[in-house]
Amino acid sequence: MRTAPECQDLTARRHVTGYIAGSLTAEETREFETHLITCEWCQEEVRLLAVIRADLESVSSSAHRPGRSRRFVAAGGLVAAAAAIVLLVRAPQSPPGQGRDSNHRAEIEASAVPEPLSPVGPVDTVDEIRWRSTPEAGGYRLTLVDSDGTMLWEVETADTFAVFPEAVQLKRGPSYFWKVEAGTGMERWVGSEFVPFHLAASPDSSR
Amino acid sequence: MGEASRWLDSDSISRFRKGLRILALRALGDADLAEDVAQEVLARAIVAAEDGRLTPDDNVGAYLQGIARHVISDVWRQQKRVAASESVLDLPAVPASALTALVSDEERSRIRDAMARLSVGDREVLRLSFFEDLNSTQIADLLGQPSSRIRKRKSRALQRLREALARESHTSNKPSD
Repeated sequence: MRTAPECQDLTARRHVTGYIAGSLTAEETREFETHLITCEWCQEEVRLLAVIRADLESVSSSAHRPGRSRRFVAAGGLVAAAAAIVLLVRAPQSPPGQGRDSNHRAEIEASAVPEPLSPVGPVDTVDEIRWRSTPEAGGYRLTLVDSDGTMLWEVETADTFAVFPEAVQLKRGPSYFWKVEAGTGMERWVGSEFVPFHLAASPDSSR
Repeated sequence: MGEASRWLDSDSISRFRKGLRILALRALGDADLAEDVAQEVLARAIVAAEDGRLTPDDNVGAYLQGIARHVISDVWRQQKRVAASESVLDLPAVPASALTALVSDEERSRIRDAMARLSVGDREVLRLSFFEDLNSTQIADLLGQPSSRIRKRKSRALQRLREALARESHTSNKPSD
């Protein structure tokens, strides 16, 4: 375990993130680097936060879609990254010895998973939630949760969209997550992963 | 090492090297060049200590940083990335991805695993903190939670990631030596 004493320079600790992001002023950078050279705690913080940020940036850029604004990618991509990075880590791996049949079965099961279409990332409003249909789906079940995992809304429908209920009030800023499951008969559901989205701050907001 | 520079013990030099490597890597984006810069700066500092131009009473961090900026400027000029008259002070930092050279694959894997074990809410707090650059008060306003709770969640999540990075670091800290 790390034995470096915890840094007591609160200004320096606040500057770690900005240093990695390149958002410090030249003077702030100079001051932080002077500290960083001698502070093992902050060196470890730089290492840790660089990895976290880089992983999210990586997932963000891979999630880039043509036509999105830079702001959309910067914010929405990173939103998606927080969830996607978990998916990367938790993605089930094929056990050794699996043959073509099991791979083929996996492909079929994958095609039965409905694909979330919108909302994804930052959006101005949410009037409805849409997903791509899957073959042989007998119906769909939509689930919406907040960042604490609290369920806000669940509905079943035969359509590939659900009109957003007025009773569910979303705040601007925090992320929400939704997933859609396709009913394949025999009480069996095949679902997407949770997709993050949030209502973008109003144009006159500082953020 | 001469008498005058004995205060520059191996622990200090190891710590300074790590810091210098970060500084150089952020400016150059190349791990090998960063290591060369760190070595060059330390070599000059040791000579300065032996000559009495660098003493324990000096601001060692500022001294090393000053040398490092000169050395990095020289590298930039050798690469013709800046004109001889330009300073590296205002050059943009390389992407954070370049800084991952500071971390071994094993360490990175542990951090990812630890991230995956965090609750959705804790990850959201980290995202808003480190990628949207919001402070705890702003996050509290966004999420409708007390700022004290946000600070606690952030602290708890970061501590878990720190522990993941530090775990078994004696077997996997090659990039940060």
